[in-house]
Amino acid sequence: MGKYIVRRLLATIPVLIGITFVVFAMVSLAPGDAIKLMLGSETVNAANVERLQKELGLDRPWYEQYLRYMLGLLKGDMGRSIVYHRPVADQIKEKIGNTVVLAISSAIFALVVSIPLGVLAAAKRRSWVDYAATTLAMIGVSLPGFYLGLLMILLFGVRLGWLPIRGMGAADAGLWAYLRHLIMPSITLGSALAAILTRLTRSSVLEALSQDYVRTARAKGVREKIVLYKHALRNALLPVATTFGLQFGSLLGGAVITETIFSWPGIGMLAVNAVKQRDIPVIQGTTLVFALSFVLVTLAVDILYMLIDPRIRYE
Amino acid sequence: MFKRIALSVLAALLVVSASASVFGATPARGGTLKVSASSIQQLDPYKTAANDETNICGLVFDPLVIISKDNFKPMPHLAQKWETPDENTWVFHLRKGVYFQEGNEVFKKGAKREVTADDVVYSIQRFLKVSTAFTLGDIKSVKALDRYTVEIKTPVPNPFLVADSNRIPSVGIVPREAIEKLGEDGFARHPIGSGPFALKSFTTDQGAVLERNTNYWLPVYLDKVEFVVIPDPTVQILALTAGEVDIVPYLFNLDSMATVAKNPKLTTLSRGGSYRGLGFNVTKPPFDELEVRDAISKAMDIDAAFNAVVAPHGERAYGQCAPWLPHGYDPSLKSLWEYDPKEAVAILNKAGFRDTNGDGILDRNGKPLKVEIKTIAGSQVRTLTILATQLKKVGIDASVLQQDTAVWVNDVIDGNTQVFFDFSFAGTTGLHSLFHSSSIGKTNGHYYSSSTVDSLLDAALKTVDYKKLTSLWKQAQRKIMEDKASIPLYFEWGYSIVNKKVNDFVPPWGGMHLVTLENSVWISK
Repeated sequence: MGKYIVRRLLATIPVLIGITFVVFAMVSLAPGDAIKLMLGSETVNAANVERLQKELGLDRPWYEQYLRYMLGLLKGDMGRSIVYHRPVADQIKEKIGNTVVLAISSAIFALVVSIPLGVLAAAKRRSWVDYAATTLAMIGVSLPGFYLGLLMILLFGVRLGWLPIRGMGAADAGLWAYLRHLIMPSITLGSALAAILTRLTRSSVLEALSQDYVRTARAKGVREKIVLYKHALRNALLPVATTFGLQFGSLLGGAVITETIFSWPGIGMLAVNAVKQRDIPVIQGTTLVFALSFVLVTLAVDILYMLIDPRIRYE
Repeated sequence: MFKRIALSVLAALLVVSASASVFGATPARGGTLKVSASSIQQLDPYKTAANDETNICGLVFDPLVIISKDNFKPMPHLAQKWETPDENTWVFHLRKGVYFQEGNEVFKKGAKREVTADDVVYSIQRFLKVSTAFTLGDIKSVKALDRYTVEIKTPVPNPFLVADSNRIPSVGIVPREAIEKLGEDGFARHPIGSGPFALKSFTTDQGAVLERNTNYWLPVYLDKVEFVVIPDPTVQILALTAGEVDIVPYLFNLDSMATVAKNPKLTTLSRGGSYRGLGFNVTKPPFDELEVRDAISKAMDIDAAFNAVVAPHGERAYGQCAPWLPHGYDPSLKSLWEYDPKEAVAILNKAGFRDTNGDGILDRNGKPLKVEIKTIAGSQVRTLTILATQLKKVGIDASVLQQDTAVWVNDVIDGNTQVFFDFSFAGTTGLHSLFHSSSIGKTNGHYYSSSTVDSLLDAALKTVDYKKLTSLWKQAQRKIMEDKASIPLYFEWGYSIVNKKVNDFVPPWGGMHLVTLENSVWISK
């Protein structure tokens, strides 16, 4: 098990190097860069911008810049923002916690909604509960996050005035204020995952309910609730856990849009600003964090498999 | 008699109380003003051109002069007055008894650190060294003549040194001790100035809270100003509607005006705006031919497109210089831009363009006349789409390509365009930036080079005789427009959306100023 984890962690290194290379190359070769954006302003001090360009080595070919970036990374230096002159590591440190909180709360929302709803839909197949769950799931999957977010802001923030529409609240406002700020972004970000998991839970539970061991349990006179939750659900959770693990990574990526709409100061918002301004070190830094999170979450899910399904062994 | 006097007194009292309550004549003290912002990353006033950061810096720091709300002319602020003993010398006389903010890491409470000429010298020198966003033009020397007098010498006359909101008005005076003690990065996070509000807290991409500077030399009515980061422009308007912010300083989407107009709690304030036109890269065939550019200008009914999309939020433009500028605005240029589609076709036919294959598109030497207009998002997309449709009607294969801002800037700078959305915030030197040959590869995306225009603009930038400057500027503008390097479309007004409880607010122009000799913002109770 330990060896397996170490092996998996080592395998992430070439993946991360590959990602940095692809992102650096793509951003460098794509039209538009931070220096030209500055030079395009009619108020610019061109001499100082050109000096800055030289100081930061931005006049060198992109592969040279990449090598320099990677050498810095080996020493733990993620570089400085071209636009804001701040260390990228500092910017990420300030924001990563917020993104993780948002992703976890969205995941909790998705799980809390989807598993009971999926089980209920399976248990009451072809009833109005099943149809309602299916309709909700369809809406959740098909409604784009930015649209759902704006609708919620309009309804719960502007019309009803129940929930704050932006940010995290004041630092000294307390836990309840913080949680109130978290509600709408979490629902927005978690709704698509909730929809997917609802459908998956329903079909997995239905499949489990048709298995022999369920029939045996019923024949032995086990109560239906226990059959459903102890026998069927536990076995149905394996594909749900797999999908949840893979989708959790996309929650981090999806935070880019949700954070921008709800002014949630995470690395998604940082990434959006960096892309707009072609701030390559920041784009690199945020992409690395996204990639690393994705790899680690996938690893965590693989380990969780063993706990859910004792038949799986990685050694 | 007594009854008449009593009635008169009563009437007078009623008038006074009515005017006080209706017009809010008596400023109320206290309250927090909440302002929306798109992004806040750092607060060093010399290292930013971002509107939101410039706005915060406009409250923390005092510049020597501020651009007046009424006529866009410089008015005294930290400098009580200034003079130009000769055309290369500027002498500023500082206000006495102005102190840097106290109760911070650098100046303890009661420190009484006065702003002096040495601080101005240090600030200008630092600005020249580190500012990437703005330029003061060539400066030969800057020195303190005494504790309250500063002299700036320029190698050649610099007429816009004080008049341009991005030059001296953008140099907030900073204390040397703060930068030395906190370091460059530290100062960008804990800026200290002498302005009406001191920074209390700042978190990147979340917001900044500023508190009243109790020692300020002008009356400050607000207790606090809070900048709250809301990156999405639509959500900014929703936050204003929900009462989460009091001011959206920049309206990015004119479509939101309809929503705002319906809300009785909100009002719109306008100040200045931007120039929007259709630019040609005059080096790219066939747009290197004056006849082709002229024909395109005649084929478009710009009035109709403007009225359909922009009016009443702007004004038709016939030149690049905006009506709010103290020089260069020239409505007589209107005669250059007549809508005459028949004449347009005749000119193109004369230039050799004919529909030889009957596909409805004019061609020459087998090449169709194609116009791809590169643009960024904004009201111009719809305007340009209407214009492209009109061009199609006369046989020009016109289309609009909306690009990401960075890609658009790249294409314009590199000359990777033929026809493009021409934009300028229409500041004092916009004409120079857009059309002087020295700006090719930077802001002159037209790749337009005219020795006549260059010499006129050069001469204008070297005179402090504003009548002469205006005349030279207008001559240059006329020549550029006669050369049809750009087809002016319209000036779009810049709007701030404000809750009606906020009084005396002036939309930002080169930074937000809530307390000046002209205004001091307050909130109705």
